[in-house]
Amino acid sequence: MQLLERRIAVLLVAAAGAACGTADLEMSGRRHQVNQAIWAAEQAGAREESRSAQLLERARRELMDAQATADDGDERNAALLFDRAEADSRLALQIARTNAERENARRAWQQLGAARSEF
Amino acid sequence: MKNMRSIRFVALGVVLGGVAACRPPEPSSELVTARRVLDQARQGPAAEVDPASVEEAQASLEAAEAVHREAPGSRRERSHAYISIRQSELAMSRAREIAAREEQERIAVAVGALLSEADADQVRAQLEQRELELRAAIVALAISQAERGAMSGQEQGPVRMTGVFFETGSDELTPVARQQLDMIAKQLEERPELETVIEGFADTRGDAKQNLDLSERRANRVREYLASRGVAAERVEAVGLGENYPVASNQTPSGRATNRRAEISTGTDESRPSARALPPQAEDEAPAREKPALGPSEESPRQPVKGEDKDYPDDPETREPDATPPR
Repeated sequence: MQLLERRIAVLLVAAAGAACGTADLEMSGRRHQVNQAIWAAEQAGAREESRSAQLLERARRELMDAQATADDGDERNAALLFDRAEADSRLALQIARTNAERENARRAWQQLGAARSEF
Repeated sequence: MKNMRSIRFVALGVVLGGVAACRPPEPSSELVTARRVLDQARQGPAAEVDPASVEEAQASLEAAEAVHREAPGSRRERSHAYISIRQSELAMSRAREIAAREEQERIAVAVGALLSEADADQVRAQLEQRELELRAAIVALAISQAERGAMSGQEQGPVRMTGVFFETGSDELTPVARQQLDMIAKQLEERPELETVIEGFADTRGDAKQNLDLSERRANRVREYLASRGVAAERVEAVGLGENYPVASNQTPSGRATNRRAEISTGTDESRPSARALPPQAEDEAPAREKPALGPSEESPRQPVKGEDKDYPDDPETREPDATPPR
């Protein structure tokens, strides 16, 4: 009986360890994903416009909070914070792209104006 | 009595508490905003441009609503609502990006149209310039002819002249040239006493000897055409003068086009035009000049031209359309 109880205890500890490991991997994966999204937004010039820069800054804070929350064992809230960070960084990236296209359109108007005055 | 009053107060408190408990919980500000922004995204172009993001926003809002029912005002409700707001904004920003890109395309079309119009204007201006140069050349030819007549002591008389022009390296008559020659043929038909001299010329690009040959072929081609229009061949003399006697600069494409010509001079017996002579150096290289031949031309079949402009196949000026015929 003691042997059986011991075996059951070992199995339970192993299962708990596996579950924790899986959760760690998942959090690590989310962190990596959000980091990638933040990096992409930076590359697109999100820092150069005020709204997208604010979103980027918020994404970084949320990422740190998510990591701290995950470290505390609260995976549910950590996942939400990761989601928020990712949503902010994706929006920052999109705003940077939209601003770039608007700038291109503005330059195109200038070219049209110049062409009209020349011809 | 006191007991009755206490009981009434307690009952009132219970009723009020119950009423308050039955009211639905107030949504968080994030949830209210999420609903509004999603509506905006659905009603605008975002729903068409980025439907995936709009659907994600919808799913996040539904999650927020579900949490709101369970735990109103909770952090989870606010987080789901926040994410929904961002996803709706992302869809709307994407729609603005697409709109900006389409605007650029429309502007590019407008610029292209403007440039095409400018190109067309430029071509018209070039053609007008060429016509002016050609007319000036024709006037110069007339003056030259008159001077020749004065030097020879002949009366000016009814000497008329005109010119037809040729494409690079070609002795083919252009449609414009044919029209001119049709008019000349008609005049010659009405004036059988008129004698005609046709002088062919070439510009200076290419081999001089081949240009001389080309100029002679040009002159003969004109003579043949007039013969086909009823002008007796014995009335027409055709000579080739090569690169000599240019009437315009050979340094420019339009000048060279003007020099690629055949001049047609007419006159009566008293003021019979005579063909100019080749300069002595060219005379040595020229083939023996023949009398106007009766009947079909004996001209050899046209060979690939190695004369003028053949070395410059890419010069766009050499591909100009026919000059506007002189009026």
